[in-house]
Amino acid sequence: MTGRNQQIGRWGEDLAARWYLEHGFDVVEQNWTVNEGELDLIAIDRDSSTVVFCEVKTRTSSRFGTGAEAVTKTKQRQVRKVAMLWLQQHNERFNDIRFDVASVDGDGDVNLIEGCF
Amino acid sequence: MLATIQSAVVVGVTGHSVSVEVHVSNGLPGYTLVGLPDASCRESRDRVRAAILSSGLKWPAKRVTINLAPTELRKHGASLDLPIALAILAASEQIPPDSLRHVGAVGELGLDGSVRAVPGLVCLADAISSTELIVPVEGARQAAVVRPGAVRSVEHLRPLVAALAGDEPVPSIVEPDPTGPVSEACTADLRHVRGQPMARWALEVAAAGGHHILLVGPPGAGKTMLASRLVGLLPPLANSRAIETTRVHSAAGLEVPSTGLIRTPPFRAPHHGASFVSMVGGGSSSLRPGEISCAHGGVLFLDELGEFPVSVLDSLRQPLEEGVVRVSRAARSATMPADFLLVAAMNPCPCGQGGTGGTCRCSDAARARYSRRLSGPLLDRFGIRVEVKPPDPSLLLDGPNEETSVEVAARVCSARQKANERGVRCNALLAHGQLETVAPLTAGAKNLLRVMLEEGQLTGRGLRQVRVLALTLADLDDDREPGKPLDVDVLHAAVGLRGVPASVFGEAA
Repeated sequence: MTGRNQQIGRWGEDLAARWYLEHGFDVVEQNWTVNEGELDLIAIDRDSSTVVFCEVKTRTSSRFGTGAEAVTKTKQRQVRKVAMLWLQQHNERFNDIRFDVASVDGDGDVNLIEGCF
Repeated sequence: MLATIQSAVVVGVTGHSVSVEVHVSNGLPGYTLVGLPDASCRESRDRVRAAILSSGLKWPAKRVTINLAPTELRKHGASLDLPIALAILAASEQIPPDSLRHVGAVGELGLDGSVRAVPGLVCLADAISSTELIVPVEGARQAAVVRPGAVRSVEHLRPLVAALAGDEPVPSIVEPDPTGPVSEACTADLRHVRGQPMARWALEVAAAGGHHILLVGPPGAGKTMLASRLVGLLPPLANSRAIETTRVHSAAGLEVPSTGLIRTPPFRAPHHGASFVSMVGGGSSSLRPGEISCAHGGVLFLDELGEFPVSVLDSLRQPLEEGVVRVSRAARSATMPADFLLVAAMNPCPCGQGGTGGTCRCSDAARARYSRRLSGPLLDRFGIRVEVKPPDPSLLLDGPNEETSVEVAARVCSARQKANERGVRCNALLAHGQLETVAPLTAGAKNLLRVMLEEGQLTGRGLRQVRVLALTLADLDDDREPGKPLDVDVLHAAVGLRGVPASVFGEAA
């Protein structure tokens, strides 16, 4: 991955993190990495005891489709697997687990799809 | 958003109504098609997506779920492309959802958004109950015959969407066109058949009475030539039969005239290598009509009858009796019309010379094996069985011009008129009980038949066929006063028309 793409990805993740903060979540991890893969964002809503694992996709143009379209079945399986590892390592109980996709476009608009897989 | 539109799929020659439901919701962009689609139907996703995009419309970057109800019916083919596209556009609010409430649609989509013809359109139009129906241009006029005042045809997705959105005028209602070209394709004329007075006469009788006919003779005598002329002698199809035949041809994916119904009786001549399914119908999940259904209302010509598989020949027996064929498979069954005039041609023996005496090279065993291929019950169903002898050489080279098909067809037509007055389309369809009243016998004629029955020359079915055949001969005789009892002469002529192959095969008539 080139440095520019990493920068864009980082920028998109920051925007998504801000979205969660603005919506009353605590962002507990950003780019949590293990051998099996990476989780872009982990946010927790303390009120409803919900943990959210968020995959952030940033696209500066929609020439190759929106970011959300790039979240394939394989990617979904990988996010689930890594999320299980995170839950095993953190001895905290949650009422609900949710997987979100944040699609960030070139203007910095965050389109957040809640509970989409 | 949810949107629903009516459509249909075809099984056999019957349309089954299908409702296409599309749900577009927030979620990861994706496309799910449920409701038992088969491979060709599932491929609609890529066609519909490309058609929508190239029509300048938007593909929803949302979760698209499509359900084809009823779910237990297997959906096949591309005819659901257009309804799926319209429902997606309505569910993503690119056209008003209300605009589809009274609308049904069928059509295949091209990647450029063009709306293409689908097989079985006539059957599909029949099955969709919505007040308006959007169909491809090709076949729209036939569809309008079964759904007058409801059919609108479109060439492309874009103007249709504009019309549904109210930006453009809706395409006008297609006028039904029940006419159709008659006999123009029939280039084979009877006047080219020289030196075959007996066979020509037999052909005329077959056409007039609707009697199945078997032609037996050596190679090159003119059997195939004669058989291909029979269809030119038949009257054009009446309304209801024209619709039935058009339905079958439409469902089978055969070419139908660009305007109007099929009015010329079809002529089908399957090769003797034809499989059971290709003859009877079935095959794919749509239960395609077979050759015998494609010949509905016209002529089915089986050349080299003895070379057909026995299973294929015996499968003809039930359709020959009932005029329909029922194709049953584990998942579904279909009843298809199969009311045809059967013309068969064959050689008297494997070497072909058996009938001409002296020159046959076949052993007795080979001849017996050859004639055994035809089951008795099938042979029994041919009302007319004539021998076609090699024509007289002088007649072939410079004989007089023979009568044209048009002249013969006129006599056939007037004979069929007389059958119509008896309440049937042709004499072969007369019920058993009717014979006594419409075709009484003279005392002499009764005696003749009694003798033939006693000597075993005639079976019970044969008796009926001889009487019906005699009636047709009487109808063709203009000098004869109507209603007169059938006498010995006309019965002799009738027996003569079904006797010859018996001498070849050594069987009772």
